[in-house]
Amino acid sequence: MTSPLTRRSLLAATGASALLVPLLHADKTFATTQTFPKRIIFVVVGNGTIETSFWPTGTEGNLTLGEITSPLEPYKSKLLFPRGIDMRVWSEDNPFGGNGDAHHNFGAILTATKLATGDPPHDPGGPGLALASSISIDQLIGQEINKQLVAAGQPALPFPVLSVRAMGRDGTGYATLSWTGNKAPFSAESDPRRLFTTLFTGRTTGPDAALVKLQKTRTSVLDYVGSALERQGKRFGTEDRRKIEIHLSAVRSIQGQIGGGPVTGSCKPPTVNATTDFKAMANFPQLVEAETDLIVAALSCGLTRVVTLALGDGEDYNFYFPWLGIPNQGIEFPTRHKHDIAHRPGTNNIDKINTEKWFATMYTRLLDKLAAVPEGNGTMLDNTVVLFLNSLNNGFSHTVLKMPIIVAAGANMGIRTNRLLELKAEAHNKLLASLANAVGVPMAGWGDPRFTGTLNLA
Amino acid sequence: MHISRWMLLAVLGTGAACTGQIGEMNVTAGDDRPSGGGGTGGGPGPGIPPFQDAGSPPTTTPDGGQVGMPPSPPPPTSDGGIAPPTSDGGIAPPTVGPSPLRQLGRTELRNTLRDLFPTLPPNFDANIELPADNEIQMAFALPGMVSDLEVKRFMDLSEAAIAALGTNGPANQFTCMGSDQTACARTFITTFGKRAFRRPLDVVEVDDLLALYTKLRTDTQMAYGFPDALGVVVEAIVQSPGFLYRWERGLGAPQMDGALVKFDNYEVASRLSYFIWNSMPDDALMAAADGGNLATLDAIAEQATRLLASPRADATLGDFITQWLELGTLGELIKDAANYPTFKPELRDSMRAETVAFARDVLRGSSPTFATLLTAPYTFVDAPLAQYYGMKPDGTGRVDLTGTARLGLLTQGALMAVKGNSYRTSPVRRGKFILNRMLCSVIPPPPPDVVPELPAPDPNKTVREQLAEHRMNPACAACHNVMDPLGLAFEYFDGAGNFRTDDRGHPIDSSGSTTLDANMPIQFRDARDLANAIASSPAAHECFVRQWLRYAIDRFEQDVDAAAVAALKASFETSRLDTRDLIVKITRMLPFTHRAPAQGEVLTP
Repeated sequence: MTSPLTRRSLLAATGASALLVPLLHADKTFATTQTFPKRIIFVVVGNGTIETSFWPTGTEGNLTLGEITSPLEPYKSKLLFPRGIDMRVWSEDNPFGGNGDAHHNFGAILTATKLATGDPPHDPGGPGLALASSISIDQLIGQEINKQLVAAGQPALPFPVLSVRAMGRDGTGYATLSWTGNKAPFSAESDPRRLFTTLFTGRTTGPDAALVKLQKTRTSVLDYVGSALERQGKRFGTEDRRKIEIHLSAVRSIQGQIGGGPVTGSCKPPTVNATTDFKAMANFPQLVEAETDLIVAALSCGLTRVVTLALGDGEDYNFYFPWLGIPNQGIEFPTRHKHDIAHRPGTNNIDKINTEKWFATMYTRLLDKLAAVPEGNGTMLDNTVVLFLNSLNNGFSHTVLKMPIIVAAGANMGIRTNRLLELKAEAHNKLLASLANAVGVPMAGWGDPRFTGTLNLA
Repeated sequence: MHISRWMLLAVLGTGAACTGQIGEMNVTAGDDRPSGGGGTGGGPGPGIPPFQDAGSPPTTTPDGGQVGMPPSPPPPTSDGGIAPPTSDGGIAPPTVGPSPLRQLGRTELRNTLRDLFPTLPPNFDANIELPADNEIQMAFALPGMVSDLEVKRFMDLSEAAIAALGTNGPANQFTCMGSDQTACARTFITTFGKRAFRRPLDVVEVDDLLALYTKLRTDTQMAYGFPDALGVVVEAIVQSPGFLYRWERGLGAPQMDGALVKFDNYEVASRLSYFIWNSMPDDALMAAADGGNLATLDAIAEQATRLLASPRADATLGDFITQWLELGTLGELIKDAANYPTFKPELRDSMRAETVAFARDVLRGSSPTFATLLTAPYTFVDAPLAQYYGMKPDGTGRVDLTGTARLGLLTQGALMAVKGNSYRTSPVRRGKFILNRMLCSVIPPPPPDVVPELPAPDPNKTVREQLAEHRMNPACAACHNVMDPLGLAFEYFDGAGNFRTDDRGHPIDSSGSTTLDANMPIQFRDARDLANAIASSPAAHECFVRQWLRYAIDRFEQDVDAAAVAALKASFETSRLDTRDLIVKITRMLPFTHRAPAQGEVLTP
């Protein structure tokens, strides 16, 4: 794996004498022109699209969106459509798509590496739970941003990465985008009410003795748990010790969240409906809306700068569209879930187009919310980049070539938008590395070293 | 030799698209999820004759690619990698596979909390969703790594437990004799900690928990009183690796037995109770471990017999049956109302209850055999299911099936409906199930990028006729010739688990032929014949043994466990397929009592 260029290695390269200079300049810059933090959001859905209805036509500044992406019309000028990005880390490893069926590629999307192989005594030979084999780029970006903040004398963000999902089965490569390391899923919250509690408990009011007691208690308990894990792991074999290390890093991550104090500024936590059954498929639109609102609030309240959002998983066997009036009779599968629609898109692809178009309305809503947060003379959207990615090009053939990707980038992100960017079999690794650079985490490449490099998005 | 399933797939070649006739030929991940595991194994599956020449293995390159693969269709493969025991007559040292560290499964965790806190209200965790155990194909569900979300859930769970226990909590019920509260806290930690960790704590563990207790009491921002501080200590214990992991050896050096690690008394106690009760050891087991009385095979088997006789084992028997029959998705089944107007979602629970009640009656009865499970001519139905099936049960819900098309587990509504489509039968899914779970044989999924364009079902043809057309394509025939006949045996049962007399007006033909055991082709007229054939098939007997062994040791058996599998199969057949006897025998086997050292493990004190 290409080792990302960290701030530390950059400093080391420039030599100790240069150490103070950037800091002095940083102060000066801050005093004259106000800058805002850069944010990045990764939104992933599964089961592919219909190419002919997805990609726009027309020249730069003069795009005509496809039927599927037409809801994004108000944001057309902020969109980049990079056509010709392949998930080569998946497609080039065997004739059938890497570690098997590309429905299971969520763990390879943000890691941009091959999946881990199975856990032999549990799972001889096979890809097993489709676990990722390395850290995902959202985690790396989150870690680097916190390092940068601490180096600048500012507090670390309580959520280096905020990972959220709607539907999907957690803890496997089918549903998990974010990974802290080899076979180490960073699980995503799926319940808006719990997400609200996690994000905002104790952050909306001033200091409170009962809350301080609770937080201190939890921190003390987790300190003990951490030390017990450290001790426990010492005698174990390599694989077992790794499980303990992953558990320990999860404990440290939760401790970081507990430590955060009240939020500052003018951010407003949203109200989450207390009674909606967010697990009911009919309420899926409300679920996505509630999660979107919480994500935007977490960004605007300074709790995080990096978000992953998975809408469904790579298989989507439990994902139906009752609110779109699609009858629940499957054609290839027992029921008309998203996977069945991918294999059997309907007459003239009608069901597939309608469902994918619905996702585009959700994307539009996310951009609406980002654009509604004032920031300086503009909005938070100006300082945000959103990657909308489908895990497959076509859900029927399972191809991961020419992936359906939309990059929405604000004015300050250094990405030239309002265009279709034609590429030829570029690895998606390069796009990820470029986006990391856009949010101030420099790197020369990401993931599998075979596909190192970046794309020029400017 | 290890052949990965993906290498097998490669044999098909990208051009080998099946041009099937109906939309279910490619049973890809649809009922195959997660499509992990099962991919290795030397040689062909148990006695599937068309592929017996698979004994000449492909050679592999060091990076796992294949060279010189024969241009033949992929054989079904054994799913667990068992090599036949060596017959060279020499005395080789016994071997056994390693036993990876794992978390308590979700059921185990809930049961353990229930047993650790007997007054805990059952719904205390109603709002705490733990990530589910991940399934592993052809094995039984196990949890994965502990993620950040689970750390948080464990915290929520322990806090909710202590809150729900209130003054009934162990710390509140503990009376401190004397004035030295710190000494009392040490006593509490030592005794409660031992129950929670299923083993004695070492001095460092006690000291660390006592340090937490002291901090909780003396920190001015926390300043807990005596019982509340101990309550938080209980929360910490429940979030500890000692509680959450199946690792009851403590932190000392393992006990070596030759080149193998022998599980110590506390580990054996927990292995017994988590296998047979899905929960922590009871007082009698812990007392046996304390006394060092779990060191012999007879003592272990005696405890296994005691645990199995307890009603607490009933839930485990049901758990094994439902996982073995892959009924996990039963609760989500939706059937098309136009095709199956009398199927109602409420019947899903009734069907599960039928299967569990029947299996329990057999396994608790006078003939707890594999053959009885598959062929007994009776079942148990509740009122809605009786109406759905058109049966007339006696006062206990029991129905005599003599003279009907039904018998045993395989023709029950639960399995037939789970392995059926929403609007018709699925002989492919049913056949694949028989291969996977009854014969421990794996059919590789069709190549994912050659899924053909399939026309809609043809109302003028039976499913059998459409499948036959599909098998005209040689690329499809290789696997479907094996799967389809097994599934077609169940054609008298519709996609929603009910008996039918015709296939949308066409007569039903459920006859066929197959080979369950090498060189012994069989003919069958219907599911009854097939169930009887499976019941007497040595390959099926071995598979049943392997399924139970996996359930008991929480891992796939490996080549190095082959001797245990062979011995279990032999004793199973000697006992006339007695399942209760099998369960107890497993606890005497090397994979239950020993493990191979893990790579990198510190074995010295």
